Amino acid sequence: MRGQAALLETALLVVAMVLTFVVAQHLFKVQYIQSDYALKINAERILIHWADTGVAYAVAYGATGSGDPQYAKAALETLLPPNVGYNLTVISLTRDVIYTIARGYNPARSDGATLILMRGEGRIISLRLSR
Amino acid sequence: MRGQVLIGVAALIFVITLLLLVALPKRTIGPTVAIENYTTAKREVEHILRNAAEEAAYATANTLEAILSNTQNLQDGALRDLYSRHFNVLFTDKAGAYAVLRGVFCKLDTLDVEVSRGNNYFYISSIYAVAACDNGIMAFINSAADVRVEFKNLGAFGGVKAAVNLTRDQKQIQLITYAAALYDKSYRFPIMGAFDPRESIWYFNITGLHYIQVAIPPEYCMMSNPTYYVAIAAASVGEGAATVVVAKPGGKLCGR
Repeated sequence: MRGQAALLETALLVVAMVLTFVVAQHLFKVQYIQSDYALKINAERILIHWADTGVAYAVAYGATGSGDPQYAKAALETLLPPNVGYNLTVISLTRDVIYTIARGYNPARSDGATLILMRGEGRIISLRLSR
Repeated sequence: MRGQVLIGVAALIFVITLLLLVALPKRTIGPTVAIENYTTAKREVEHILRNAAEEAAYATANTLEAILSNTQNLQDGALRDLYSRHFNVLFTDKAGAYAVLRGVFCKLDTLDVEVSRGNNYFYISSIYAVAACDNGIMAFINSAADVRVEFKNLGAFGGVKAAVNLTRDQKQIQLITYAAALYDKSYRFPIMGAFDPRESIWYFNITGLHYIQVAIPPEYCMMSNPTYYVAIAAASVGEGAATVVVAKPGGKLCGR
């Protein structure tokens, strides 16, 4: 009887410790999956590259002030492989959305970044990428 | 007895862990996008400075009559002050909108504007500005302009030809926008032309040297003691380089 009780105690102790470790691991797990992180960092780097090279102005304003979706599409599709979907939205700070272009975009598995330009009335370029 | 204590301790650890799981915010460990976030923020502030520098050139050219009516004769110091005031206003306006969007407050830390002059003309020759934000970001722009103005006798018309070379960090700017207008001291607005960035002319030159030519109509170019002057605003597109040129002919520009 005494031996069975000790065995039960040991078993319960082991179960409690295993559960504690499982829960603790879950508690400190990385929140984003690796692919989302890669998408976010890629979106940020594309926008930084655009800001550095002046492409951001062509995308957000164009020659007419209403942006250039064709140019944006070409600029994005030379950088992104076909298996990566995208959604690019250019928003005016005074006139709402100016245009949106997308290709194979899956919001459930996406991440992205934004860039703010303050020329004229200002623009927000939102680039989201998905797998 | 000893076994019950052990089970109690194990149960306590388990319950505390569950409570922590519910109470603590979710943690993220591993790499973050700190470098990219910093770079994006720095670029955004840098572009606010660049846009303010470019738009200030148009705003200055558009309000030259304000300093003309006070002094009756434009001075390079007045041009520098007018440009600096417009830069300040535009930067503050843009930084305010940026603060609303990103929650980051930026202010203009330094602004040095220089004016150079040639024979019967002067222009903004360099812009150096630094912005500092409350998140520790600092950004700056450093641009220069080199301008040569020629006055031409074109027979019935007079002409002003400005060779404009804009640089940012010693790199020549190939794409510019520009506008030109003719002012007369008697009026408080440009008598020909306008300085609206939306109606400005786009000019790309691979060499970075831009020739801006303005015709002077006969009723003005015939004046042997001119009361008019020509103003030109030229700015890059998102590079932070800009200049305002004010040229005043010394005599008759057309006819014999």
